[in-house]
Amino acid sequence: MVFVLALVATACSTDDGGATTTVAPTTTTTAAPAPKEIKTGRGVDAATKTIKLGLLADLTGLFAPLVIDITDAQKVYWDNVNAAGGVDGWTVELVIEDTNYNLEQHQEKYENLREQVVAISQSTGSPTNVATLPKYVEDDMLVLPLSWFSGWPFADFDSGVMIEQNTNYCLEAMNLVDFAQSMGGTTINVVGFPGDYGQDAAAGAKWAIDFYDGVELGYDGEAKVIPGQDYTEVIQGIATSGADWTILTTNPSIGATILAGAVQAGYAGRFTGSGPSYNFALLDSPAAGLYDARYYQSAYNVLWGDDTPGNNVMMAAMQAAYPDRRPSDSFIIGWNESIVMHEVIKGALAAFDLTPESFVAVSNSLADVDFGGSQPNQSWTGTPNDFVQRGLAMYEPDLAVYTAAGGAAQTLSQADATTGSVLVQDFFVGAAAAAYDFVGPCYEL
Amino acid sequence: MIAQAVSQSGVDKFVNALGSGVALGAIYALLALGFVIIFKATQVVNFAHGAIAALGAYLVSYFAVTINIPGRWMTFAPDWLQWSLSALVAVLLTAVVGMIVERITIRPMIGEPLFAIAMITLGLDLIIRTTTNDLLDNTNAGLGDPFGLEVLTFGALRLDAAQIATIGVTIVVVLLLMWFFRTRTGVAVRATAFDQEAAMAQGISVGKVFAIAWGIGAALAALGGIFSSVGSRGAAGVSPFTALIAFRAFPAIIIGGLDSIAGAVAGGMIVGVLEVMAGTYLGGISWLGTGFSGIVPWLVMMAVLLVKPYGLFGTEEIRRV
Repeated sequence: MVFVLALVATACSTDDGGATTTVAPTTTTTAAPAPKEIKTGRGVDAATKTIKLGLLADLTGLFAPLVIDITDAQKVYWDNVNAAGGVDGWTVELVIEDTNYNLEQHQEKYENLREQVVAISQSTGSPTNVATLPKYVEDDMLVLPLSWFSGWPFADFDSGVMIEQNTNYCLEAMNLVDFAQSMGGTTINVVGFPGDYGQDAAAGAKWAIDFYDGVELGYDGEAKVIPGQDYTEVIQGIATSGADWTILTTNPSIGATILAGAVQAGYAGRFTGSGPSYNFALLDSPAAGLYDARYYQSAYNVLWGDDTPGNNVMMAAMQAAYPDRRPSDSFIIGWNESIVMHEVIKGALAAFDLTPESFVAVSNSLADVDFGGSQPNQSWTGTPNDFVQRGLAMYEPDLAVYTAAGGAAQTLSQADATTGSVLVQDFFVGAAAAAYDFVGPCYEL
Repeated sequence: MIAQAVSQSGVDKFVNALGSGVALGAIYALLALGFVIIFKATQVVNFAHGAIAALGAYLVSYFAVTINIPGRWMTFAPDWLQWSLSALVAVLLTAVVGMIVERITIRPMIGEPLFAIAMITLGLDLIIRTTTNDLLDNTNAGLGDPFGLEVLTFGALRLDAAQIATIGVTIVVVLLLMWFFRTRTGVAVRATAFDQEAAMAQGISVGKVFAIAWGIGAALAALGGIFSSVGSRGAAGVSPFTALIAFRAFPAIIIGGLDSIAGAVAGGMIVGVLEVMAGTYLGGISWLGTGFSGIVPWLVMMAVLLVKPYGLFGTEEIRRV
């Protein structure tokens, strides 16, 4: 009941010339059904008024900690929408496949989905999605990738079937450089994985380092972090660089090894990193003190506990669904993915066309989707240079805040539950990211 | 804030790389010892070794952090003692898991092709690794260890407490193994390793020897997993990546000789030092490409095998998978 009241209180949907402002699921989003018959296709059952969305989710692989929470947030979102009457009377059903972040499994699981869903509301990974892209195009399958690769906004790369969300790795890294230089940084190390994630970010960071006067590249550790190998080379590179900032594009556990090793080797500078480089579980590790003292977290969305209308609705719903679970900064990602797909469905219903082709067309015309302050509004119309997301927020892990709230023992039912990070700079677009002419992927796959 | 570049003299740099390499080599030696003991006694190439190592590290996190056993009953004891006892419980439990795995999946395969048994251990690797990752919620977990990240200085040498503990525990383990192989049970293990049929004819329970070997092997794997999940090398604690360290120890096993206890220690040290030295001195050579330090141990392994196909200390009658 609380959730329903929250929906009524916070939801506002106005289809005014393409602008869409929905912050939460609602049952009052469209005008009364027209007598006109709705065209349907794959994944849509007109008899039962059911729309099936797929998820190709890494529930057991490298990114499982992130994706499990994202997936569960989507489940809760649609459960609540359906319980409140669905989208204009249509029930949304999720079909979830675990890909294990494995390329072969991703493609196999897509085969399971391709005949039964109208679109995919979350698909984990860049290499996995790139490899399966020809099939998506062949099927007119709209896919929302859990991947912040800078190539997704370009129709000549993805034929318009991918609807990316948030700021990509490249522009994010530009903002990280902006943040570092605003904190007095003059020499910045760039360190990360090989491939689209690490090298997309490295391309953005290096471009921004060139952009700002008085800022120079320190140790160039682009593509030098090979998961599973010894990191002495990178640690030595950072420690001997003399740089005052290091940008990491790794995963949390490898990032912690590098951060701790570099500090032990005498590095005196500070760290920041691409969003997936940090996980608040690091505040339960021996490196917690170092993260508290040296690290700044990048975020595409607000974090658990932040007071925004969109986040508050999400938190109330997640608390009701999983009162005994740990808080997570990933829930809001899944929630916002669902908001995007909700807007697509509403657009398709407004066009009386629930076919896959209609979903793709609507996705490329969404404008100014409102997430209730939990991330900047986002559009997908015009050229990528016009609509690409460029901003992010910066947080600082605070061990005292995390510990005071109960640390790892916290549950969602706890009013003051927190993932331990404190806002340092609200959503901003740095000068480099604002000036960047986004006419192609920063890193070519 | 302007950071200062760390400047080290050539000697300091070498000494620190050597120290760090020996500490890494000690982890490899623990892993290699466990692997070799299982192979020596049972002729089984255990591809699940890394998964067992990660399970051992996870169990330390579980006992020391999650349920605080036995610390909750001995709050009067210092933290390091409470943690050490939790680690001991975890290592013993991992040994029991090793013995159960052997009894259920390996012993029924006695006499069957070694390739089939190796495939079973590959399956075990996947099962144990996935289970451990599930228990970890696929994220990282601190071990609650008392080592911290503070660096201790001994002249030019800088090591953290975890590295010192790793080297110390490895020395103790080697001494214990030397003692063990002189006991009655140890002699039975050696006899079984030498000739199973002759050992059985002498009244030795080969099944019991297999169980002991898997128990010791799993316990050593757990120690390797624990020490790779503490200090700066394991700053985030145990994670889904922990199991991968066993694959990095493979060159150590092969260089030393698949059936040699001394070789496992020597191989571990050689690989650890080589890896760190390569990372320290070859990282700036761009034409070598990315990740060259990870290749160096494998290059050395190939070079050793070309000269001594059974490793530095291996015996020639070994069958290889």
